[in-house]
Amino acid sequence: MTAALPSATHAAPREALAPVVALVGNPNSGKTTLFNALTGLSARVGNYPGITVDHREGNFALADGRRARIVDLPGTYSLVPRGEDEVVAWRGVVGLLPGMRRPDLVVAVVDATHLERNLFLVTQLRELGVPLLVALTVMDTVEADGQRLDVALLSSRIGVPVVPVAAVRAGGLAELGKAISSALRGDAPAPSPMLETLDWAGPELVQQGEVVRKQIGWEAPAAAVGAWAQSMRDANAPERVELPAGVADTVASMPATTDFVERLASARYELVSQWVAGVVERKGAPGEPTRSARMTERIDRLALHPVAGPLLLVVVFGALFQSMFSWAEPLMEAIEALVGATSSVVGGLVPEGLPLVRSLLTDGVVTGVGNVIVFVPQIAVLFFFLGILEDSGYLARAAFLIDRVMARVGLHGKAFVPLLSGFACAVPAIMAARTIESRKDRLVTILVTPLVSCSARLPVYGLMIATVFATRPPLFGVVHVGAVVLVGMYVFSLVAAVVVAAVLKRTVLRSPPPPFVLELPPYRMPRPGQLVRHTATRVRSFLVDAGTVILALTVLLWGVFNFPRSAEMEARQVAEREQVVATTAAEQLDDALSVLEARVAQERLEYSFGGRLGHAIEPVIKPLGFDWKIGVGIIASFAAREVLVSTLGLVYGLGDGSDEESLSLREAIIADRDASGQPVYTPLSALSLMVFFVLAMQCMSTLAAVRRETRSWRWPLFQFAYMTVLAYVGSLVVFQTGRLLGLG
Amino acid sequence: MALAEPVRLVGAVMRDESAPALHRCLDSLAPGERAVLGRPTRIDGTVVRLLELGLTPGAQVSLTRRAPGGDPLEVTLRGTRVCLRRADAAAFPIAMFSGGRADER
Repeated sequence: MTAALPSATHAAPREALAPVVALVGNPNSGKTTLFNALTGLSARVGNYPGITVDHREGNFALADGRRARIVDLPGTYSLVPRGEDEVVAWRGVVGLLPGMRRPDLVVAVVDATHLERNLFLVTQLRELGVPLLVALTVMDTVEADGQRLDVALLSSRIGVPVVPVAAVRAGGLAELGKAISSALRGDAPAPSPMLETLDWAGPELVQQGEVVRKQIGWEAPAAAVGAWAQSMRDANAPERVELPAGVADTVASMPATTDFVERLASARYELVSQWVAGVVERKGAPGEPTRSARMTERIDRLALHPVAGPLLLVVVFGALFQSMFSWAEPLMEAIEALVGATSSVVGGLVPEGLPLVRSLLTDGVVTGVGNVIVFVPQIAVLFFFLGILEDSGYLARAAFLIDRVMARVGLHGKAFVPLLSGFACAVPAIMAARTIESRKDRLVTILVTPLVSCSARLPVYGLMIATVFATRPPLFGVVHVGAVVLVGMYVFSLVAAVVVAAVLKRTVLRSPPPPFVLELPPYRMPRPGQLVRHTATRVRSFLVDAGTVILALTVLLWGVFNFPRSAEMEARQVAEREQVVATTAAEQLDDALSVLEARVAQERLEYSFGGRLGHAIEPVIKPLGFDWKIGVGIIASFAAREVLVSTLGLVYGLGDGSDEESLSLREAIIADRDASGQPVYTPLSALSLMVFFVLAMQCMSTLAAVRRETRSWRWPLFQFAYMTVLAYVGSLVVFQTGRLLGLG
Repeated sequence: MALAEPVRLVGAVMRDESAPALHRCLDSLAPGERAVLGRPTRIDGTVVRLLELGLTPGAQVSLTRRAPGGDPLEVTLRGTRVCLRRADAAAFPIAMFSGGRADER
């Protein structure tokens, strides 16, 4: 190659590559809708190494027949990033996203009904001199409000093409497509000279700008880069976001000012008001709310009413929560039935003489696939409903109403949705934490969400309460002890989550309290197509990224509970089976065989690594009130918490069909005695076991989801470690304190 | 007349001279009241974001409502609605419109 190439990122002549077009805009500007309309079915989630914020990209056919690569950058109000997603937007504009060139064209998506606020971002883009085109969205509302925009005047004022997008649907984008094609052929506009005219911005700013420019190869006027660096400094941005190494140091080394950002923001808004003066022609008196604004305000008089607002909030999120159970549950049961049927079919295809292969395929692979897809209904339902709440604008209202409560417990307002969803299932809940902008606040939420008592713990509580607490006399003659214990577990789990969050926020993930600044967008009707796409994207990313890990762990656990095998034991079991067949009357044969099979499964389990591990850890868990059988159950329930129940069924020689309703399992548990003849399960040891299940990370799927969301094994491993320690200490305190008090 | 009042207030705010008018901050605004913003008394990430959202000196702002419990606040400015916490609103001094309901709460 020639030596004339400007830099390594432009390894091939620009013309030879598909042009890169980046969409940037404020949140709620209609950017994603525009992106979907432009790219159609070619849209997919971009996945760049080290970047946990999703952004999507797709293709668009240009007028000259070439295809442009369109990247939908996260919504942002400013190029001075304050959150992880805003860093991605900034990196995208500047050309610092791994795997993406500097854009050949930036399309600024501007909500025409909030022109001034949206154009603030355009002033920043103009200062940087990026090749720019402004797309005006929400034009239908502008027209419905009886307003007219002088687009040509606005375009000449800003100095870049401005294109109104009348209808965001196939065919409505012809003008925008043409404008993109011709803008890609033209030259970048000269940077707006605004910053050079500011007499209060000294030469140091240009010097600092030069330093930062060189550090990251940022091709922009030094004054604009310097203003960016000073704004980052004054906003304490390096405390909150991760910047390229050198830049973070340069920014941190700059002296803070008290008035720079304020003067700059004023100057930019002054420029915006010059841009829009005379551009908007409207009916009615100036300052009078538009028709659409009045309609939104009418809804908000109810939705944000001091009494009705919180009530509506409870109803809406109650419905969301309920739907995760009642809508997802039948689908989950159908999936489980399907997995069972598939398992039989697959098992039937394997020759009789290969029991191990059959077991691997049915109990390992098919079960593993089932363990993955069983989460799909809950993920789909949650994200479909969240999509409705977000696209309609209600989620912003919910954040406004709930902020005070969440701030009290030191959590981010947007942590509300993950924590609530966590009562159903931690896997979709952790995926829902993605809306939290600050990396540390998001990590705190991800790390504590699995403490919230999910529905998989219910069978464990149910079994313990039914066997140990059911026979207790009611408190005060009326209150069922079991009910008190159950409610206690839910409250305890929430308290544990809040306390751990507070500790993490002050230690491992120390960061300032989450800020709260929020725009209330106008209410809009969600688009069904967009909801479905959004939901499908989430489901797919779970299946691909977390699914593989869950499948691998399921097969691994199958190995732990199926190996080693003893040839002598297998031979004896075959002999016993033959003897049973030979000596039992035909009508009793089925019963006799299932008793035998249950015992075979029990013996195999005890002989396996998992069974031996259960014995091995008995001395460690004895102080918690657990015996080796519970130890085996704890190891097996790493697959999922409810597996404890069926594993106990196996351990007690009751076969593999036990659930929390099984009377035979309850009887076996009540009857179980330790070496000294004392009952293994007392109210105290049962309580200790429930506390253990509240606090322990007994869920490989959650770990897989956390790895997917944090893009590393570091945080899931930390989470597993801290929760296991917490569970051990929690149960130890409960059991030993109870003993000292003479209970159990 | 409608424009003269804000212009006078903006001038006062920008020159930092009308000490009596600047005793109040944005957090003390009652629902329905309108005011003109002064220069923020502190700068941090949240205040910078609010400036970027248009809470610049001289901007006209009205308080729409408070959340149940009195915090956060919703304000309207430049045709958009922004929510912020009381503690952050306290960083923005205000000058009242003489025509606005400036009588104390």
